[in-house]
Amino acid sequence: MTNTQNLIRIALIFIVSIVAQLLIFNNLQFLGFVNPYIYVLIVMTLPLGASTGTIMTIGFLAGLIIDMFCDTPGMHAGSMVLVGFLRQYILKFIALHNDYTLDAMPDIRTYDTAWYLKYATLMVAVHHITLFSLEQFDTLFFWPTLLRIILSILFTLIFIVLIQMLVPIGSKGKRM
Amino acid sequence: MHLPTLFAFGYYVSLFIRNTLRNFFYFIAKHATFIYFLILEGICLALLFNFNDYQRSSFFSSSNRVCASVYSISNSITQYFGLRTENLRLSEENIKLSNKIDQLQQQLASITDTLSRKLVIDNDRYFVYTSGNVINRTINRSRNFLTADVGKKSGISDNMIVVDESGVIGMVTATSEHFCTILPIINNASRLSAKIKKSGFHGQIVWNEVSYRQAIMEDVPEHASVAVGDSVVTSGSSSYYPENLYIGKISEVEMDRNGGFYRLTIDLAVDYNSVSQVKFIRNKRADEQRALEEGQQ
Repeated sequence: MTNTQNLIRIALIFIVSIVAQLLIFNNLQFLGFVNPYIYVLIVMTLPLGASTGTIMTIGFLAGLIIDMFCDTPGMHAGSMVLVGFLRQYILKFIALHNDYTLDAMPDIRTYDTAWYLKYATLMVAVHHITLFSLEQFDTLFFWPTLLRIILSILFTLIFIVLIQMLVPIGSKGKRM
Repeated sequence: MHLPTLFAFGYYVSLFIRNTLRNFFYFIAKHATFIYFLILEGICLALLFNFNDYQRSSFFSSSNRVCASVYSISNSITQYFGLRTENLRLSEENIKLSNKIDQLQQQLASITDTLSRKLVIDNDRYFVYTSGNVINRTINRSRNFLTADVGKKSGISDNMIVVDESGVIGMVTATSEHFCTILPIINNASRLSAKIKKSGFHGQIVWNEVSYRQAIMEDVPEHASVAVGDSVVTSGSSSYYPENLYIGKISEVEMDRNGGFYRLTIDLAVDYNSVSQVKFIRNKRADEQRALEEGQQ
């Protein structure tokens, strides 16, 4: 299910995404309050055949590291675990691509663009909605929060696509 | 009761226990992923709801050694980008300070024998520690924090007040040997009692969670005289904050939705996006005051 090449790929994506998130993307401020969270890529690019337990563990670790740096207890970890858990249902919902393999790591070039955009939008939306609700935790600023969520989802998607245009991080996997 | 009955009874009991246990393990095995999910989310929510304890334990916050040293390396690179503005600001401050020295020397000469009593008391009550650098900041979340590169080794302790030359920044919430975390006004957990300088009416400063340049002043009664442009300063009724530290200017006056109180928008004096050099103040008698006040309740 996972070969050595994939393991190296996963480790690299894990480290590079977190470093980039902390040192670059946390310092970008669009309109003063919009922050792209591109580290969702860690959970998004895990092989299609990875078990939900593995996905949740990796997501939890990544979220915890981000939390320690951002002084946000459990927020990022919690939303990453939820995305990890819901990934199987999201994949089921949008239907797997015809010629998928278990060790394929999905990115924009792996299958067609429309499929990937559907997948990315759902994953990022689940993550951002959970994250911002945990952060806010009351209804006092409902409309500003909704605006923040929508704009952040948009910017995260744009950056995820841009990153994948520059670096091919996914792989199609070998046919068995 | 004779022995065979007892054995038979024991046998059925053991069968029952074995079946129950087996069903229990089947259940666990069947829902293992979901149970694992619940455990992980439970850990995260426990962290989230124990927010304050978490802040105190410097292991989990950005003042822990690894996090802080990563930030201080990144800061040592990025601070070069701000050198020009920082230089300008420093030279301005130099001019201001040397003007102040002249002014104070003249005053001193005129009142050498009757030094103002208030000044003596203030020096006695408050310590000022200079020179800390903000090495990391967030300004676009609901719970923003600053990290500074001074800690216990430099005499920084919890609940010290942080200011720079433009106004109040916030309060120290966690310290490690070489770093500390600061809770700024622009954090939805921050509460700060303030007053309008001109009319003396008190209120509470909270953040509006929209812009890092603005905050809201609540609980100012309807009959208070308020005008756009009035200065807002700390009230001194909190045991940690000294009186009359500048916070900002009123930029917008409106009534609270429930009536009876004003809801004032304040333009903060401190620009959290560029704050860099800060000073730390400690009220030496805060503990004494707190102990007395708690004894009264």
